[in-house]
Amino acid sequence: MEVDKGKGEAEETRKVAEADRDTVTLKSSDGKLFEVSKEAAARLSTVLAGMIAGGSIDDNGTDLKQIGSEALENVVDYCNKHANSIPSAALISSSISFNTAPFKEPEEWERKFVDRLSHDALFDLVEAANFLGMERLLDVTCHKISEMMKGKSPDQIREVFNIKNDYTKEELEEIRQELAWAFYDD
Amino acid sequence: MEFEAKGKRTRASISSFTVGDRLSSLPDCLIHHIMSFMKARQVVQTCVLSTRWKHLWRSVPSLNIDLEEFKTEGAYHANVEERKKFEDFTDHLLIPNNISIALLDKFQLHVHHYHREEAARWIRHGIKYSTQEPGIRPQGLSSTPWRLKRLHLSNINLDDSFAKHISSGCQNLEDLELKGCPCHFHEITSHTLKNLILKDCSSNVLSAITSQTLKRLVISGCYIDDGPLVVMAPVVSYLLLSVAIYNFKGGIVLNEIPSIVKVSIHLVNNSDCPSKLGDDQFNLLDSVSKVTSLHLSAYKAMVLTEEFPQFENLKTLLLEKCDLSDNFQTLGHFLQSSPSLEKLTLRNCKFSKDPKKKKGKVKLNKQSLSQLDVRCKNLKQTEIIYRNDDVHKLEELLLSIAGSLPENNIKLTKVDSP
Repeated sequence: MEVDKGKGEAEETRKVAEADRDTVTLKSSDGKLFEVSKEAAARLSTVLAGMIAGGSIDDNGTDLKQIGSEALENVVDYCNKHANSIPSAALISSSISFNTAPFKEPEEWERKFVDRLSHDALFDLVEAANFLGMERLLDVTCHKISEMMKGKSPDQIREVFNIKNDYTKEELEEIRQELAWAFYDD
Repeated sequence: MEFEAKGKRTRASISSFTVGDRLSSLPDCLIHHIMSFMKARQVVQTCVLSTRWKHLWRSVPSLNIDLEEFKTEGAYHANVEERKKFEDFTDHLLIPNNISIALLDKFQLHVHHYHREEAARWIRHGIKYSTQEPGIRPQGLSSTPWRLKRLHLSNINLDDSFAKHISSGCQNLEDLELKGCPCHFHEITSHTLKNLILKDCSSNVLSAITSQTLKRLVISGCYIDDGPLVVMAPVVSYLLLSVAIYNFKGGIVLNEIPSIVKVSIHLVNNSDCPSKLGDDQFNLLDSVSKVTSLHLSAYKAMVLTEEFPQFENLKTLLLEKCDLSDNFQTLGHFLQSSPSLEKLTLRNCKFSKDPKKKKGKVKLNKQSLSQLDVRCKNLKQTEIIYRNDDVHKLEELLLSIAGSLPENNIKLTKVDSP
């Protein structure tokens, strides 16, 4: 399904959607409408699944006041891409795999999906995934953030994430002494 | 920098007001979630980022302690100094004032064999002394319950006290993964486990895996000297058994698994050393006869001592590197006993006897495939991937029973020998 950015287009899609009822319409905090497959939404988001099951989906666009249009567009995009990638996922799980850990490494398309996001869009998506109870999307986005921190010094991490160091020199020294066992290399 | 540029945009989203530090603005649970993808030392080191981060590491629900984190990148092994740092780090981290295993949801401890003993001590210590209330210590030998859901351990000596704790002290444990662990315990019993992976573990005493809740069981590359290993797990739906026959001399006894869906059995069998597991092949199949998807690798031709099981649910059958040189008797038995079969794949199987080993032990039955009562009405796809082997006989046989396989399509692919 195409993701509609323009409102007019979205409304047209919505009419089609209402006819076959395979999709739900979501409304961002700034009033933009997005279509997403009902099946994918229910499978990927516990919150949307609950709303669909509970009949609290609004045909004119279910209000998601917490989520901006850019983040919602990414959520919908992710759902659609996920739905399209099912054959390959089934193929992978049918082969012998020892990777039965609860978190499966991001697939190629998931990596590309989060890699193209701007810094802010990534965090917006983390918060949207958290709000909508989208476990896999939350894993993939948080995993991306962890990779941005991996192997970096505290100074480098502060720079990447714009973290303000509000410790005094003395406080920092005290922490490093107390936890010397974790700071051998410095 | 990227975030500076983005900060100028007006955004009407959750945190449109934030300019700059989006990471520290996340709630603790999301920062902990990000930390769950990091290894332990880096998690602890985040404490110096800012005061917001000072104590976050102490309350992580998920901890991954891994010697690899201390190793110089690209090096094959951690050197002596790195190992010492690792030991010192873990010694300090796992004192209850810092992080108590008992309070974690997920714990991973990956060491190398030279830390087997220290790691065993960390685990013992975690069982014995972790307390939820600082200052209150359990008396004597009593252990502290762990609330862990997931536990992954590599290369650690584990004994009966560990197995006992798994059975009675871990009432939430769903996922247990042991890799390369010398297992000195006699049995694994759990009332909560859903996923159990034993990979490259060795044991002289392990004789039972018992769980009424287990859904996935993977036993791969292990060595169990004594035996047999008795698996009582009636609700398993996925079973992967990938072992060398000579490493399971006592064999494996699977009690019947009515709920089984998918099974892969890969046997490595490149020695003539006698093993109970070699004789168990047939019984293993019998226990999983309710399976929907079956993948057998390197199965020998089977000498039937009792009736071939009925695979009433079997839809997908993959035989890989199996010995079908018994005049296709084994294949015939499958076709005869699998009325629901939809897809059959034969990959690199052995169709004719190796001329060098003419003394085949399997007695050739006069009955050929064409005389069997094949009832695979739903078989749609037969794929035969073969090397330099005589495939004509198999083709002939399949054609001769084509009448019983009305919808079957046969696809032949020849691959080059390696």
